Amino acid sequence: MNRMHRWLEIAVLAGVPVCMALCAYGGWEQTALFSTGVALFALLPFFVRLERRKPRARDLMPLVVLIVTAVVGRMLFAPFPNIKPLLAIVIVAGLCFGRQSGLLVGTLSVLASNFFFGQGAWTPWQMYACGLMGYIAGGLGKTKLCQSRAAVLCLGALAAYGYGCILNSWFILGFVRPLTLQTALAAYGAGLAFDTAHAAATVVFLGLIWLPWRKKLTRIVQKYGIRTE
Amino acid sequence: MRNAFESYHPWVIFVYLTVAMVCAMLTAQPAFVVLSFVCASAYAVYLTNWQAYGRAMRHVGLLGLLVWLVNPLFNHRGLTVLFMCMDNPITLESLLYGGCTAVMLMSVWLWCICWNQLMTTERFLHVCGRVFPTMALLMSIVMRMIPQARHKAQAIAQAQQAMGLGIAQAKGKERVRRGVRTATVLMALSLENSMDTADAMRSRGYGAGVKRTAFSPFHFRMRDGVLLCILVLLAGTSVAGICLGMRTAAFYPFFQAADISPLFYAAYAAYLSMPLLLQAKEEWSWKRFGFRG
Amino acid sequence: MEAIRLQGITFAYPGQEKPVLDGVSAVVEQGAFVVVCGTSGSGKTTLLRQIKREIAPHGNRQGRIAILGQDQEQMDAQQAARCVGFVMQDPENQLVTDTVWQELAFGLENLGVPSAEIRRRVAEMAHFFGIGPWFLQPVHALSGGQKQMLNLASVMVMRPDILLLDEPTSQLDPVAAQTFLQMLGRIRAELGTTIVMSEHRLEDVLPMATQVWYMQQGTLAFDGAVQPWLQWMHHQGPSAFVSALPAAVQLALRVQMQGPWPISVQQGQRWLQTHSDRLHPHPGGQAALPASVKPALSARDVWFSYEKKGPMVLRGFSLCAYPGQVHAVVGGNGSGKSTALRILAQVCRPLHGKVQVRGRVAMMNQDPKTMFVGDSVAEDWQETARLSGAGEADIQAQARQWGLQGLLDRHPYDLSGGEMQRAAFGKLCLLAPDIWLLDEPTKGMDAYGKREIAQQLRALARAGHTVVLVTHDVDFAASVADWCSMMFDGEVLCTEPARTFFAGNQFYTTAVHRITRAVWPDCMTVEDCVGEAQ
Repeated sequence: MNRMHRWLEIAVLAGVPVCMALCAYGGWEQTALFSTGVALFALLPFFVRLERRKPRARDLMPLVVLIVTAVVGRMLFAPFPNIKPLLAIVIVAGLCFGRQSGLLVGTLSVLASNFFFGQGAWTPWQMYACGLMGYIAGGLGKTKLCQSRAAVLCLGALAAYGYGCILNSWFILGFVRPLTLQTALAAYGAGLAFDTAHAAATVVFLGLIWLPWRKKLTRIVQKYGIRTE
Repeated sequence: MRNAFESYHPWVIFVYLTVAMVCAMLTAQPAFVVLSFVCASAYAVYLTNWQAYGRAMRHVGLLGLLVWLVNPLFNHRGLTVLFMCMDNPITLESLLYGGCTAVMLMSVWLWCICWNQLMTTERFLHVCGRVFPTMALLMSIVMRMIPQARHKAQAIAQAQQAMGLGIAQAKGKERVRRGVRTATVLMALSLENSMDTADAMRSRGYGAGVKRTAFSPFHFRMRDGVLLCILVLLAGTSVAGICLGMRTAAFYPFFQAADISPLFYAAYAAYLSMPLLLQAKEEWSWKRFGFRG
Repeated sequence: MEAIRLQGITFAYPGQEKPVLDGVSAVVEQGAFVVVCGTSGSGKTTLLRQIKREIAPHGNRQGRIAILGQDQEQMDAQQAARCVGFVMQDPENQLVTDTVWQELAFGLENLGVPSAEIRRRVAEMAHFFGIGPWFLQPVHALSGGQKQMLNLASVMVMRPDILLLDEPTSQLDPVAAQTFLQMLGRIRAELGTTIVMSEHRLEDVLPMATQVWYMQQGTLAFDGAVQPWLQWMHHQGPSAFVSALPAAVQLALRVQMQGPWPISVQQGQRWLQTHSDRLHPHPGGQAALPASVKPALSARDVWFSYEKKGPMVLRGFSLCAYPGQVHAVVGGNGSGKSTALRILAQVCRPLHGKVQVRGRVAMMNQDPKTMFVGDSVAEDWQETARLSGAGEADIQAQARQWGLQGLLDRHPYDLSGGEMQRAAFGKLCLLAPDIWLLDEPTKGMDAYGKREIAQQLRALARAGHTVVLVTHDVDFAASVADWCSMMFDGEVLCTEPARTFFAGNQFYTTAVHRITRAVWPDCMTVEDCVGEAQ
């Protein structure tokens, strides 16, 4: 059952890029709209599962706190849009608490921070992209790979590029006309500098917070008997 | 003046804005795109002010310009060649198509501005609280803790500064280290305090095994229902118009306007300008009766 | 009918031999107002939490608790949540949601009460508590007192039969604390709710109490009405706890053998009319200032605002503090006291005006938790020591001085309130500052803790340090300060030697002075009245 769940989750999340690729291939005009709907739809099962699970108040709190710090961190670095600790915190959440929690922290910290920075048609996409990164980090958290700090930092860099790639794809599929390999590459290229800065910032943040935060989170989990996934 | 549309139920506002945004993204037909852009502009200016509108347009205008110019440069479909640019034919049709895409992008942006003004956290949580109560509660706790955490962050930074460990008192690497450490203390402190919050939740019956009800100060009244019906009718007509238009409208090889009844355009215009019409009505009745007490 | 029956409650935390509660048995009748008192660490909080099943700490418990005649273990979850309400110490952390109306509705939502019924109850309670004007506001816009009032209201909206409160006013300023207690009185009088409340500021609470639980090292040392309790305290002889009693009682305990004991200020005044000849007042001397001493810290005509377009928080604030003196700044909420301290600590820069400092400054925050960065006290102190060039020997010396020898490897947040405060003091000592700035150092402290801090501050002053403290706690200021300033609306209205200052005030003065003003205008503390002043 658990296994099936896991495969279903992965299928739903992976379905989004597949849909995007199909849209691109078909050259459909309503891609922007359609893909936004798909992104929201992909998150739906996770929210439903949260409702079903009926978590204890205590188990929710570490997630809430991580979301809050992610949002406040984004506010503190608001003058520099590509330097924000949000993704680093989402990755920490995933690594420490697992896939579901990583996804929740990712999606909800985007949603909450956009209440201050402006919601928009891009919100579902950001939620999806950030949630996906949290989910992936959660999936890798238990593996041996993530015991090493270098691997975690690599994960941070890849996640930042992945996040940028997903958001760029949405913009390109939705609004760049005509959609040819040339224009798409040009648009990706235009975003590359921004994404690289984001990746660098994420790696720096992750390098600084990963070990101390894991220590603090572990302490609170043990002291208060918090159940993680 | 009070905002007349805001007195309606969150669901009405949510449906209105969502449909407006969906329609804006649905089609690139010039008439629909322009209608959406004009109405979104008018409402955005009404909800904010000219300065904010100007600022937004500067940002998104640049993006729009890019989208507009890229199209004719890379796309040579269309038969009306205007001029040659570096051996490439620039056609009227591709210019027009690029322009429509650009305006569509701008109107989506403007609708987002309206969304942010109207869909306050409270309204948003009311709407999603019916469907996802746990998530809405989680968001509510988050929104409660954000100002608290900002305040705490300041207190921590000041306490450290007064001990000579402040962020501004160091340079380079050490400065970054202290900045991140402030965040770490904030996280640990919030975690510690949040355990009290969890206790407070439990002591007030959270997790007592009953299905939670959702209380809200908003209630759905007759007038909300009436407006919602009107909006749904108008939206249905508009979407039908857009879909019908798609069959006949074309940009290539020649631009061809959609062959649909002007009533569809009127419905779309009426739908999009509904909040402003309501506002005008309230203003009118205020002028008429307001001073008589 | 019995509201609560405790039978032989013994409780120990997991892995600990020594029980925190030891065989506590008691009965509370419905409609009673029980005040639970005792020194810090006597088990007050643990006992209260045992009565509220949902938040009872994990551990090994023996004995039985019956709520309204029903065994606690057998109550169903909703009933248990509803009929016992609990208000905790910190007003901030108990608030769950982001707006006032959501907060009020939260408990009822959890119980699955239908929406229409919630609407009605919430409206009713908002009216009873006078919350109407801020009903739609976000909770972060409320003051501390309003927040605690909201916590009380959102518990009361569930219509509990029993209300438990764990030092609910300890984080509030005196005016907000009074308002809160008056509301409790109204709840008991108009709704008949049984109230059990732990408290260390007994001055205002004791006149309302019908029953006292006096805790001593985990046992219920006394259970009964107020007057018999005071008589019992008299028999027990002097103890550290006596200084927590109301001023009038403290005076009476010194001279008389039998009750009735005066409790309120008014009763104290009447008592003094017949007993003044039995006391031998000997007020202490006045602080004097050598003319040649230069101020260690001075602020001249400082103006400050947090936001460009916001209101001015300080408007022409001026203050001088001298070495070897303790200077207390008192004033109401929003008078700009804490901001002034931040200006003096040079954490905030003044818009106009000048701050001059001679020496090294250290500031103690209201919340000592914000001062620690390490994962253990030792780690935390080592970093501070590196900054000031102190060594391991200094750390050990500070640990000894502040009684923290065994606690250095603990996490700072795992310390008790008093220990945490001492650890913060120790940390600042490592910086070897000349000027100490303290923001509400007695917040949440019991009388014993206050006395300890007062001694530490006096010792610092004797050693030639400059101490400036900002406080709501007038009695504490009177016991420690040489100089006092009153702040109002962003400026200092007057600065006088402490004794002159308190003698000139009617409200901002000590309870002892309010009692004895007519007879001995110079007495500020109990020691003054009985001639034991230093």
